[in-house]
Amino acid sequence: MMLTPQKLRYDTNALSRSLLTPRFDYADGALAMHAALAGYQTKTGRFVTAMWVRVRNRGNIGYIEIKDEVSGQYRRTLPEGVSPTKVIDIEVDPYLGAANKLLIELTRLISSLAAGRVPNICGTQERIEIQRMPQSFWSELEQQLARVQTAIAQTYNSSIVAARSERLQPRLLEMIKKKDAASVQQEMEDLGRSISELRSLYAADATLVAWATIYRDLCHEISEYCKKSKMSAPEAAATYIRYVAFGATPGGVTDPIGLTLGLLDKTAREGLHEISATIAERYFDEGSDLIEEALGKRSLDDFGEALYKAGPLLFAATRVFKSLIEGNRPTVPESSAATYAKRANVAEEQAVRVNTSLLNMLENRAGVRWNSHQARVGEAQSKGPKAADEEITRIIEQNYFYPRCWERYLRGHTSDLPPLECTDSPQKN
Amino acid sequence: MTDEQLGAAVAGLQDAAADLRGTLVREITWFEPPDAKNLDPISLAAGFGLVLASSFLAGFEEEARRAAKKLGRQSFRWLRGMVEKYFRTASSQPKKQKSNSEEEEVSHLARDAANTAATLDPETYQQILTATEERLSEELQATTAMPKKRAQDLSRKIRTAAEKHVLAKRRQRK
Repeated sequence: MMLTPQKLRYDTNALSRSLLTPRFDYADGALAMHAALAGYQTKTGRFVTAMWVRVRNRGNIGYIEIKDEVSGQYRRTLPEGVSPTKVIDIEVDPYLGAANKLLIELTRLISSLAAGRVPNICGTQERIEIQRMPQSFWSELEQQLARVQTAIAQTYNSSIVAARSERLQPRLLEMIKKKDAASVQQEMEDLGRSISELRSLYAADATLVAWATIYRDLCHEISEYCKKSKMSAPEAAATYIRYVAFGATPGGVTDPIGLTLGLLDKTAREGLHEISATIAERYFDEGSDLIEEALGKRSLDDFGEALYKAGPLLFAATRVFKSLIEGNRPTVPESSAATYAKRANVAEEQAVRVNTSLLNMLENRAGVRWNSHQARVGEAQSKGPKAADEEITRIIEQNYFYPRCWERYLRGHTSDLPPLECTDSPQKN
Repeated sequence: MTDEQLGAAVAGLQDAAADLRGTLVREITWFEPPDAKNLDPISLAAGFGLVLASSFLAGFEEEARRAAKKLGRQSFRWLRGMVEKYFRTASSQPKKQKSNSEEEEVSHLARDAANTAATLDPETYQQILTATEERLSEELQATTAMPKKRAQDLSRKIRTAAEKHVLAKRRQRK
């Protein structure tokens, strides 16, 4: 098999993006789930779609709806109205470690190709060849995977949060002494920027980005709110300090999700839920715009890049809206809670689709998903144009599996892999 | 008012709904009632495009009447009702076809709006379109909890589809 450098780079990016959106354990769990479903299908000959599944994972039991290859929200109990007799049982292997295996396999493959060897495709006798590439090409890929490996380590996120907290503390003391917020504000801006940079280098998962973004934006919005309200300057400065300091307590919490939830809980308790809702709305809009942008791309790699950027924003929007409705929220009026609940639901749905699409790119490295999508469209085409249109809508507009330009390839002649670029010329036979 | 006009309005509405399908597949959750169970976005979106395009045309018709007779703002008073009815039917009897009277109502509505559009001068026509789009956006926010920008974007898309396939076509044939 002849591998192109473009395909290798795309596969490396697809793996990196999926493992970091929202975070490593999501991809790991989803891959383990897919393996369990595939096992069920092989054993029973039944294809699992539009069904509720009872998932056993070690001692835990939960329920999840599988719909159009997209897994819905995981629930502890079966929702009302779903008949328990129609639920199928799946046992997930918690030790499968599929995501990590893929990372190790790809790292080995790249090292081997970089050394000029002709390795076998894992588990087969088929050889993989690639044209001669400059050393810089190989080291870029190797470094990228090394950064992903670092970013998915268990203590990585906490170490980043702790380091940023340490940087903030002297500035906070300075602010208290000089009554000047400028240096703290600058530090907060730098925090958001530096974590975004890590993300673009494939060294930050979506939860870390969401923490930095929410922390920065919430503190900024609270500062603006204080300025506009009738608070005195010292009072406003004290409020701002309280919020910044909440996320930068010496020896305090360093888990980004825990910190984010704590901060959001604080705003809700203090009756500032509208500020949280404002930033969540912004994240949702930006994330949705990125999805739209992604669907208009003409390269699969650009498509994946736009969805990779959308991931943390939609994760953040979901977390914020959920925080406003979960638990005891006496400061959030019932009418607002209903709005937030709806928004949390939509944001989560979008986030899940983005995560699943990134996973689809990863699982499509050998074209398995692509073949099944083309077969589905082909089968629908035999039923008529309406059925084919619906199938295309399902694959592209509902599940974001490919950009819109791929419609003609989905309808076209079958191919082993989806093309990496959409060209203007008609598809070759 | 001829059968031909009615037929053109119906075909236009269907084309408008087809244009909106991709968007609505993504946006339909905003409209779903909390107790909605196992609804399929793809099959819902096709019919729901008709509901929203019709709603825009009803709003356009009312907005035109308001401009002519200086009536109060009443546009889209039936949006919520149509949405609720649509989901009620979809939840309980997903395979049920629309009744003839419902289809007729929507067809007449589209034809009337198209005929009204054909009588307006270009400036008034644009003003009424813009006012209708704004009103629909407000109503979408109030009915669905949709954030402002999202509602504005959807409202613009509904306007574009309804204008392109129903109103502008009729004006061209004038």
